[in-house]
Formats: sequence, structure tokens, C-alpha cells
Amino acid sequence: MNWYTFTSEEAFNTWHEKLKARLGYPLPSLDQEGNVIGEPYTTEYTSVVKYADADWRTIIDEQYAQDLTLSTEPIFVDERGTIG
Amino acid sequence: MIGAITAGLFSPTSGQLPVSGAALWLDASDANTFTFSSGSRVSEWRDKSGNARNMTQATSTYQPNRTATQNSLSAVKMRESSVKYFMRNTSYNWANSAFTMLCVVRPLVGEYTAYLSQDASAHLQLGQDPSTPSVLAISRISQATATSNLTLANNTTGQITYKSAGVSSGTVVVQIYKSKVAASSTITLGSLSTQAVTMIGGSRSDLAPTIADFYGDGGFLCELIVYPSQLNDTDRNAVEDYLIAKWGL
Repeated sequence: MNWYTFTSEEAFNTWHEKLKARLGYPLPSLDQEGNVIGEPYTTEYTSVVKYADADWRTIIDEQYAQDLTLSTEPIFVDERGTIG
Repeated sequence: MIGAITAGLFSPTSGQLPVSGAALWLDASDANTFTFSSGSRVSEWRDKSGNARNMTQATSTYQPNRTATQNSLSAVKMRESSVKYFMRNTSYNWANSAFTMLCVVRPLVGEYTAYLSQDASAHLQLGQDPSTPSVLAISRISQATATSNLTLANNTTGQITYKSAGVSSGTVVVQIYKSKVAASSTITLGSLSTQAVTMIGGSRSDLAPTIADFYGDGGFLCELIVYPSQLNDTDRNAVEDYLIAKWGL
């Protein structure tokens, strides 16, 4: 898994919807043996967070990240110091 | 009656808790309480208390991984490498009235670790402070932390209990125990809000995928129980003994 950057939330959403369609989302709900036991619950592959203007960061498995712009983990700072 | 000892029915593997009346019971060793999206990635972790306060995660990259082991029992990893996992229930407010939260965890603390939290700034989380050695603490999320004198070292599995009358007029007073030993004094935080969101593994889903207040890489959760009351010493010790025996501490 690596961090990647998109220039806008819309650009991420467009890419994300294409990936989910390709991977067959939503994913089924399985028991420990892999048997389907309920309605599909896993609806999203990943999500995105705004780090700066034109810098929306997300974490993606490398195998799905062709042509994306590699980035780094965004660091947010709160009143106590670094939190992530 | 909440907190009554269920005499004669208890053993660490009996499928019952030694004290009845839990509000939330997450047991990583019980495969029947999990739903997976693929392999060991957890999309739902069902509450065994009977209150259906199930924890869920609908996004693949944040789904915890049930691949850890403690005392030959399965446990749930809440972070791997740079990926931080969390789960939520959006209809349970554990902080606005009395609670006793008992858990078995293995932390690797690099930031403010949340064993049980809510999901917004200025709300309560129960966890650890990233000082060295890591101290057991409570936080007003993203704003302030109050520490106890107890520690749980990185890469060490421990049993921890947090007991409180709950958040009242924005203030909470918490007594922490580690393996039945009480911290030297209670700790207090003010200016708190509460909400009907319960979260494990993190405390700021608005920051996902950089979710804050996670268990460190290699950390995991074995079992977490919440009672909607302040357990008396007899009942608290009974549940702590159950957890300590079951998880080989």
C-alpha cells in the first residue's frame, strides 16, 4: 500500500468508481470459510482526505495505482501535536 | 440487576461472561462473530452482549485484519504498515453515563492510542499517551490528554480497565486499572462532548485514510467489554480474572 495524490475530490471519485466497477464492488459478506452469509456490506475500496489545495491524499494497493501520482502520508497536527 | 455475578456458569471458554449485563462485548477469539470481505479482512464484528452494537467497516482499506494470535487465540490487528484500520457503531453512546470498559490489547504506541473512543474532536477516548514508556490515559480527542501513573509497554499484551461515572456537564473522572492494580489516582478531563458513535482503532473518521489515534503497527485487540455501570470491586475482579486467564496474561 502506498499514498497517492489527486488534484481534486472529483478526480478521485471518478478514478475510484472505475476501480470499484472493475473489482466488482460491493463485495459479498463472507464467513471464515468463505461462504456468503449476507448482503454485500463492503461498498468502498478506499477514501480520500484533503491535505491542501489541489492535494487530496489516499492510500491504495500498488497493483491498482497505475498512472497515479505517488505521494507521502499526510501529517495533520492538532492541539496536542502530530496525530497522523 | 446490572453487574450480578453469574455463579456456577463461568469458565474462560464457557461462552458467557462472569458478570452479566454487558452493554458491548467484542471477542476476537469467536470466529462466529465476524463477517469478512475477503480472507481475514473484517467487515463486521458482532457484539456478543445481546444488544446488537455491532462494529462495521464498509471500506476495504480500513478493514481490520484478524491474523494476530495471543495465547493460541485469534486477535484483530488494527494497523499494518502505513494502513490504519478502524470500525464504528453509529447508535451507541457509551460515554454519557456510567461505564466500566475492560479490554485486552497489545499496543505499539506512536501516537495517541484509542482503545475505545467516539468520533470527533472534543469527544472522549480511552487509550494511551505516546510518552515513553507509554502511559495509560484518556483524551479529549485532538485537544488534550490526561495521563495516569500506569504504563503498558509497546509490544506487550495487557489487561486494562477504565471505570467512570461518565461525562457529566462536560467533565469525566476515570479510574484506570492494569491487571487489577489501580492507578494511584483518578484522572479528569473537562470540556467534553458526547455522541452516539462508538469507535475502535481510531477516533477521527473525518481524517480517513489518515485515521488518528490508532493502535500502532503490530498492535492488536483481543477482547473489549463495556458495562453500563461502575462495577464494584468483586465484579470488576471477576471479569478481569476471566480476561487474564483466557488470554494467558
